[in-house]
Amino acid sequence: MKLRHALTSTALLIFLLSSGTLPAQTFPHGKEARKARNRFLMIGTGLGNYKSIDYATSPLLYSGTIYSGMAAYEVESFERVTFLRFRTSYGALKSNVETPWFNPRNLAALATFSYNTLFRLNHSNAWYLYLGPLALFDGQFRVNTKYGNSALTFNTLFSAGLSFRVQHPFEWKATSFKFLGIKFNRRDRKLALFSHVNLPVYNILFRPTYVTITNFIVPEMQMAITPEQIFGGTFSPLAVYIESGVSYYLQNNNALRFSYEWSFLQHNAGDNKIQSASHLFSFGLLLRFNPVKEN
Amino acid sequence: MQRNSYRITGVISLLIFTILLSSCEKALMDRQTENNPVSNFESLWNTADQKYSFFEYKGIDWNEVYDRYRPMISEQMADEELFDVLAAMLNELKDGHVNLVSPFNISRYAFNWYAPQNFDFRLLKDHYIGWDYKITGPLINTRIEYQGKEFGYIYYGSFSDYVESADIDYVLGSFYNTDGLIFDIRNNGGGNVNNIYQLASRFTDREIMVYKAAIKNGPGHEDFTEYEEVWLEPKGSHPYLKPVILLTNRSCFSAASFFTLAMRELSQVTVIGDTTGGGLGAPAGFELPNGWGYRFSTSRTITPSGQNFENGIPPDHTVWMQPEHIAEGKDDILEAALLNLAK
Repeated sequence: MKLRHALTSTALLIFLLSSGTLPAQTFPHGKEARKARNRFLMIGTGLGNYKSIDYATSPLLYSGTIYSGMAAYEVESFERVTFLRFRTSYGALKSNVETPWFNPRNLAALATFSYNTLFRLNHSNAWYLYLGPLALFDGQFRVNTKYGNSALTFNTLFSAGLSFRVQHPFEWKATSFKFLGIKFNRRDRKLALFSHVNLPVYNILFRPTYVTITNFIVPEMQMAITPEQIFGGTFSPLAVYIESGVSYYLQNNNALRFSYEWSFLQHNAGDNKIQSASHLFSFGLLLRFNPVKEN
Repeated sequence: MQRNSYRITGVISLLIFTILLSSCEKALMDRQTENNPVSNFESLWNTADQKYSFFEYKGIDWNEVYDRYRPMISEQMADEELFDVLAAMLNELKDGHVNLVSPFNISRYAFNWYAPQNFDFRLLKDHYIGWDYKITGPLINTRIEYQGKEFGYIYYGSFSDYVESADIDYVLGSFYNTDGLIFDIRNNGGGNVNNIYQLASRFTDREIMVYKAAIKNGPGHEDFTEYEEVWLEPKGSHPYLKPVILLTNRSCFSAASFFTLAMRELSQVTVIGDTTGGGLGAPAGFELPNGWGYRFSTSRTITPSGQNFENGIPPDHTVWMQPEHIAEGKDDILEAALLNLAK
């Protein structure tokens, strides 16, 4: 049973990593295709909410506002899109148990690093569908001084998985309109709606030990990861990241992006169970790297 | 017009798709554990049952403890009453590393209540080290003349006070021409374990195994990792290899006991004073459904030969300060140390 499970996982992983090459063959390729790609550097910021229940130390739900900074390198072409993204978030958390005069510091620091190359599945000009492999790191670190030696708990996920993206490009034609008595002239604008799903499939998860601290009496163990701290498997933990938003292309071919992302992670391991979720609204500026080719 | 409605449908579909999936969160995430006296009692008892490290060593029947304390819990009891019951239950573990922390009180086990203090710093200053001693980082240090010989004296009051390499190297360097050293850690209640190695590594010129430690890795009372050996490596520019007397009392706890455990493995070190308070299990912290914190030992440490001194490390020579001698300005423990060095 275990062997079958491993074989299925390996086959799925090989499929995910190789599946994109087939549709790419139907599009122009080589130097011409590479020139046609749009390259963007995205710099953004976000505001959201993060919550977690980490049974390693507490049965309480902790939540709080998080502040994010993000950067990405994106390449778009007819046949595929590539994303290399990094995001870090930071926030103070509180439990919903009222202890107003007993308020230890409880902080969360999150870091996500992901890489996608997604291949276009269809030829429709209205809705672009993409599918491709995902490489993901998601580190969530929480510090609660109430727990003394076990103040630091964490879940760090390394994952290979699958990504799906749907994108709908459209245009706003030039128009004039009045709003609150003020006349506005809008130029032609290109926009794109998108929804992007990252689904980790084959996972390795690092967690605290059974008693939440490594054996810190032993100097070599103070920062060590022991075998007891490594979990994972196919769809274990269960994690999903979904982002929807809109890109608004400016006259200078840079772009603005507004998006909402929901992420969820759950790992069931008895006392070491962890659940976390986040909601993040973000704003990004996409700076175009390569010049636009005039028609 | 048709294109617009097509687009609006698309936008709405994307939004609904995202919101629907994110609303799964409510179904996926656990509801918070109920917060009432019974759930708090059960949470505490169960976590301790699965993660405390000295049930077998101390011969504690934790199920019997449950049977005795569970009837004391009722849904209507006040927070203060609940605290008293839970604190009393935790104190059955007879462990100085056990605390229950509420907004209005912190419980603790008085591991040293029956022992004399065996330390008086004012007496030390008045009759032995004077008032012009050096303070190098957290290390109080001076020289003491006794029977025509000169000895170094170091007092280190808390392992929570970080010792820089430069601190201990300076002090031991200044004692290079002394005939011996007294290292006094009486009343040191512990702190950061890194300071153990920072200090002890200055008293050896070779690697030496000083103890072994294992940590809980499963719910059974005897579920532990394999023992990991802890080796002391020589450090510093002036290793002190002349005779050293380590002074201890019952208030030496946790990191101070680890330090004692490490130092007693060194051939030139003699321990004089009283049995330490023990505390050789690393405590981990947790939380109850009502937000109160608690901690207890989750590991155990033994000597290289396999002895477990969780309840206290006995000295090589037990000496207590006698009240009549204290009145005369005499520290019996320090006197014994000086006599031992002067031999």
